[in-house]
Amino acid sequence: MSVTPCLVDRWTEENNNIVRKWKEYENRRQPLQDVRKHCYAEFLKLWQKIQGLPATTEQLQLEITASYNTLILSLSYSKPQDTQHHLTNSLVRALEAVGAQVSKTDLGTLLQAVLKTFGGTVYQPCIHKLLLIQWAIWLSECQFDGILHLLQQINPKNKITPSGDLLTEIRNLTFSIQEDISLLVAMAAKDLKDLLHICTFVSKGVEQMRKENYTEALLAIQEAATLSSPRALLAHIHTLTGLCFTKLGRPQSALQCYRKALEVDFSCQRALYQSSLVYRQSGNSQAEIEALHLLHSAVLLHTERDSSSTPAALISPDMLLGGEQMAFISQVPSPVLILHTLAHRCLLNDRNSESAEFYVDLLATLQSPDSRPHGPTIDALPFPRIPVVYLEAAFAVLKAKRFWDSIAICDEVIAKTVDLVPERLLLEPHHRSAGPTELAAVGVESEAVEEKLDCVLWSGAAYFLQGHAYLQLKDTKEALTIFTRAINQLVKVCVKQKCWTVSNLGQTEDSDNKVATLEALKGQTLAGRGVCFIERGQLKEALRDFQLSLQASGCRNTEMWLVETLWRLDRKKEAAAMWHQSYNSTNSPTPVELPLYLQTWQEDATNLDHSNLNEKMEKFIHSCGDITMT
Amino acid sequence: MEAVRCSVDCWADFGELLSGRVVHTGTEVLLTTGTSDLLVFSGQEKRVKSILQFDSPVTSLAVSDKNRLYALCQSHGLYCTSFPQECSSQSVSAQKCDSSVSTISRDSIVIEDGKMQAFILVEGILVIVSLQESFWSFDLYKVPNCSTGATVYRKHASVHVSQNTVGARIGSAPVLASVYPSKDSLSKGRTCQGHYLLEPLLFRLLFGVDAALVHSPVILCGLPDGRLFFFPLLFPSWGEQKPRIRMLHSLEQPVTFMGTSVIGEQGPQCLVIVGQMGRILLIRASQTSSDGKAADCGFIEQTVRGPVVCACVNGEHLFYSTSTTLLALPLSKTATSSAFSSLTAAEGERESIRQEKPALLSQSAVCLSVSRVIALAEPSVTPTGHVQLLLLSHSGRLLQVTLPQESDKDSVSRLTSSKVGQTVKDLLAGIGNVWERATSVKLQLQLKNNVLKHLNQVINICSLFLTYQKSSQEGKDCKPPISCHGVAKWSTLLQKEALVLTCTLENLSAYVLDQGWTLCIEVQSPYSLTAEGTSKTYSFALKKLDCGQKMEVNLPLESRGEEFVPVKIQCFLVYSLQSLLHKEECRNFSASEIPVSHFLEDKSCISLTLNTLTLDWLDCLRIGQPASHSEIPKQNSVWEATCIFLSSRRIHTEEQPMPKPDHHVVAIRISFDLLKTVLSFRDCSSAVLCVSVLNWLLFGMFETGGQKFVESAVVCAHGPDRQPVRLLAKEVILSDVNSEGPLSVVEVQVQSSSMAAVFGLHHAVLRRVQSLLKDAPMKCANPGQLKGQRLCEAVRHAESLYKDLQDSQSSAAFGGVMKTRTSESLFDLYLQLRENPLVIL
Repeated sequence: MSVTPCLVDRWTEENNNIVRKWKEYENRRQPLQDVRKHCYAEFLKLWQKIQGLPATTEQLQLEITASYNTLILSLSYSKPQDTQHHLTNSLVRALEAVGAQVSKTDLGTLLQAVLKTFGGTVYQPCIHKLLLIQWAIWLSECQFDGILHLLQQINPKNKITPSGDLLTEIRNLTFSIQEDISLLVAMAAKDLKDLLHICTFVSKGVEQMRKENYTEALLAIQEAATLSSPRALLAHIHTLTGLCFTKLGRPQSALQCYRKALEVDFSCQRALYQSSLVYRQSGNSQAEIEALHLLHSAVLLHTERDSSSTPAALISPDMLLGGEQMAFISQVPSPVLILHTLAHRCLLNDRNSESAEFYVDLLATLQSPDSRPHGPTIDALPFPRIPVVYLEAAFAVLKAKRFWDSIAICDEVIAKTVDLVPERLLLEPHHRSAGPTELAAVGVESEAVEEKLDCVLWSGAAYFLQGHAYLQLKDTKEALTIFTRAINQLVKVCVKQKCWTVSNLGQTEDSDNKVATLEALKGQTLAGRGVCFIERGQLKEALRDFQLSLQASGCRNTEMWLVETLWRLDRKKEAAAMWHQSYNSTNSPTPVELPLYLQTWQEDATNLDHSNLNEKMEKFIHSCGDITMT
Repeated sequence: MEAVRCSVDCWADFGELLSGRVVHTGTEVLLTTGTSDLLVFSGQEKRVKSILQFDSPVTSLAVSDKNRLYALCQSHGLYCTSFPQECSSQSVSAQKCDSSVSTISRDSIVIEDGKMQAFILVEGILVIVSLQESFWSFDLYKVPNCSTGATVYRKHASVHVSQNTVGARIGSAPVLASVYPSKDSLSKGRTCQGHYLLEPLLFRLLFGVDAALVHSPVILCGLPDGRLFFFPLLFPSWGEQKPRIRMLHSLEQPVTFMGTSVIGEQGPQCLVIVGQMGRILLIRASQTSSDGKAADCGFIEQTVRGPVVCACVNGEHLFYSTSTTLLALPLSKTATSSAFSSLTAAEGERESIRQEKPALLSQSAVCLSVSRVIALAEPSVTPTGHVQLLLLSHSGRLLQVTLPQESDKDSVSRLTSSKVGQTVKDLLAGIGNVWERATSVKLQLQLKNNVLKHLNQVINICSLFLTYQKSSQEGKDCKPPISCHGVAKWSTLLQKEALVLTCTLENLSAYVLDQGWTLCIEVQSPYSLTAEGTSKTYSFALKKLDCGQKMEVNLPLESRGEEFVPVKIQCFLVYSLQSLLHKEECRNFSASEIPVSHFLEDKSCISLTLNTLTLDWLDCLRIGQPASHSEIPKQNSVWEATCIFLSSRRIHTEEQPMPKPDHHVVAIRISFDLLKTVLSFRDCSSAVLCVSVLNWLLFGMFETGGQKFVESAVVCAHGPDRQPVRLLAKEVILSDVNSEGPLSVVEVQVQSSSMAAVFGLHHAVLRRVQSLLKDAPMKCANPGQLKGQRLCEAVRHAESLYKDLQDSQSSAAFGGVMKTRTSESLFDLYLQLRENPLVIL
């Protein structure tokens, strides 16, 4: 029992040296991962040396401080279980030092015993330090009950009756924090406590949000916002506040919060993303696009900077909040998805050249080996199928009048899909006793059929876009060929029943959509070919195509073209009747959601000058009327 | 099951092993042996370079492109450590550095999770499969950029699949693979461990259009319960309606291996999945056929005899190890089996065919004769085209197996017994062909040798003649190596009398005259009716004439009249080059129209001139048959017929008939001394001398033993024109010729009623004497007394006379117009001859 005091002194000195070294490194803010690891290893060594002696009260202060230092560093290196194990060991040794006996097995009883034994003694601040580590461990594992229980025990019972509410308990927490100057610590206990305080609030808030209990979440998070906290964390807090506001239907407040978050930390991508969502909701596409653009560049910047991250603090909020919570807080879609959204939005808002650029970027990103997104990411947001992205890109590029690029992109899609398209695809799963040709569709996985249908759609659409590209290049002959190919692809699908209900397909709506898309595509392709024929002066063929097109899917533009064709064929009365009919009929909105590359087509390229035609028709009808009158 | 021999190279021996794993990373081989040690083995130095000690057994490994080593340890988690550095070059040169042992501390754990089962590193993303309480979790971690010092592995995403307890086997880990769409369809189906390329069409069919459009790799996972899941790695989420991770198939047995295989010529076309119990799933795309059917994929399941411990694919071959042996299965056979074709013909989609006949497929597997393999590394192909497998055997040996090349293997493995006979036949036929060729070549060689031998002889004989010619030119007296002598004889054949020349060829040389030599005898009669004279050549092919042998040939001398005498007979030995060639070849040459080289034509030959003989009237005399010609019915020759015709016409001419048939007499005088000296008659009477002179003239000899052809000084004979001729020799004493006194002279008188015979004989006698005189200067030492000059002039005179005579005869024969002149000239000649009796000294 005669521990030489010089040994304690030497160890104290050693401890202080390590801490100084760390502090020096921390102040210099150099990204030296090794120093951190080195310090940890040295602390661990010291601690093991101390533990080599039987626990005594004389060296208890030193031992606990050394444990604290070691554990703080181990938080970022070891698994929570290991840290917990070390912590328990330290506590047991502390108890041993004062001669109390306790079983290692139950953590709760151990803590209780520790608090009881050391309550009010000189060692209380030291013990509290260790308990902060326990808090941190539990926080990272979201064990709020444990924290509550611990804090309840720490708080003097006489002050306030235990409310059972963790947040109140934390607010009322009185911690005996007295720093021993002779024994240096890597992180002051007060700082750690404050950080834990905020993080617990945030974590609690996030938990509430996950339970979709936004009001309470808002309370917790707003309180956290009042406390002083690191920059990044504050930005996250603001973002979370904004998120709650959004959910609670207060977009303006939400936007304000997001702005605050960005003011605090520009690299808070979540705030940018969320604001873009808010703008979309409110229909401010200009702002939305801007936000997305910023977000995209921020994400790119971030990924570039990612590897050379600034030296993290000893204890970062990320560490305390745990992986899952952090993932929720800083959830941002992948750069590819952002880029796609951006491009998509631009296209919808007729910012064609920008959109084309973004789409081309997107395709490049998908192809390049470095910047590719990897694997099944945790994104909740779906990314469209790759061929769809290609078709959208082709469409965007076509709108930007880069015809040859568009043709090239379509070629890529065609090359990949066209040989997968069967000669005949019959969509009629009910009648199993059908002829041999229907075997292909019958008795096979619905998924495969659907994939084939997709291939038909994609190759057809690719041909369709190519046709339009050629049409706009005034190469009507080539356009005619391409349109005919598109039609050949599309008519391979036979739908037995008009109303296609497939019982064994899970997503009936989806399939319906596809069939409707197919019909629309067929109609538009036929119309496109009709226009080609008109350009080439083959009016009869044009008439046939327009009529077929109308059978497939009606569209005002096509009707107008039909009227024009009839007029040119000198079937004026029919033209007038047709015009009259379509003019008076209200445009029935398309029941299905068409893909982007078909949606906005109607107002473009093949459009006829309606006013001219209308004028012509009105005149004719008038004259007819006059004739009939007379 | 057939077996193939392959070369096995043992790299190391680690002792008995229970489990293991081999990864080949360029130069190094990483080995786990079921213990917590990870061995880094140098393939070049064939030794363990370093040992990494982990806390627990390493279950799977990966090496990133930044030379970081990832190792998954049982119940600990994923370690990441820098790849053990090579020994510095100095130390290598100084000494062979020992393998370094390094302990990997817990600090190297990057992701700590004891439930991890497998992982794969793709494009800087770690995909980790772990088994949680009730589900399989696929977690994606981004590998931090080492250069910036970040070390935190952030989990990006995770997907869950519920656990299927049925059929799950404890102890087997999930298998992970990443599949890329191959941009170039001809590229190889394999990049490195666990990463494969797949043909774009099949990729799209299996994994969707989206992944193909963004060229995203797809992570394929085979769980121990046999289910195959896949999800695209680099991909934004689709949202709710599509599940992230989808099931491809269920093998219903633990998955051992997944990979792609090249079948046919169009790149990696087939996805291969092998189950632990030997079930093999092949997924292939069927191309869009001409009838416009959409491309589709077919699933074929087949079974080999299990269990399959480990497997790998190279090109068309699946290599798999049962617990006992290593086998190679050609997938192309399997995939193109009838089962597959029937599948593609059916319109069904993604139907699978399951064949439960292990024997059937196992038969086509080829045994590689390597036993108890527990781990296989990715196969590599050497520059020479051999497939090399690196494997770890149960006995702890690290083996490198080099397989024989495709073609070799085919020929070895696919020989059936029926083909063996055929092969033997072929081989024998080949041997026969070679033998035939050898024989013909030998024959040709022999022929050539023969030809050379012949040529050699020919050349030898030629040179012999050359030396003879030289020596004779130098004046040496030597015998010709080969000579030919001729004697004319009268023979009666079929009551027709004919003069026959008998030539004797005598070979005195040391060489044999072989086949191919021809004796040519040219008979020229320069004084025939035509201006240039007639000549006739007879040739006799020699069969073989040995040294010292003689050969006689007989040839008829045409007896058309007397005009042919004297004749000059030239003998040649001719060797035709054509005879050098084989007969058949000659035939071939003549049969084909190819212009045979000209030297082989008939003209090309070697010709050696032998001696020249002269046959004159004396030689042609028929002695001692004075009365016979009246009895023998006369055959009218053309000449005689002409004479008869002419005589019958004589009445019309006023001229005197031909000179009377009284004897014309021509005399030649030869001095006694000369004869005595030349003919070496020393002391004998003049009568004997006269007989001897006649003998000499007629037979070319004076005394031939006891035989005497002529016994009196008067010889009656018939000339070739069948006119009776008398030769007479008598001694005459001349007093006016020599200044020294009276000269006794032998006078040879030719008496005949035929002028031609007289002249011919006269000429012949003179020729003999001339030849005698040619030799005389050497023997007679008294040239001053000789009147050789006169003799010569006389001979020449006689010849010209004879010529004139023949001219006149011919003109008389064809014309008869200038008869008076003819007779006049003849008469003149005659007178001249008579006036100049020659004295030959």
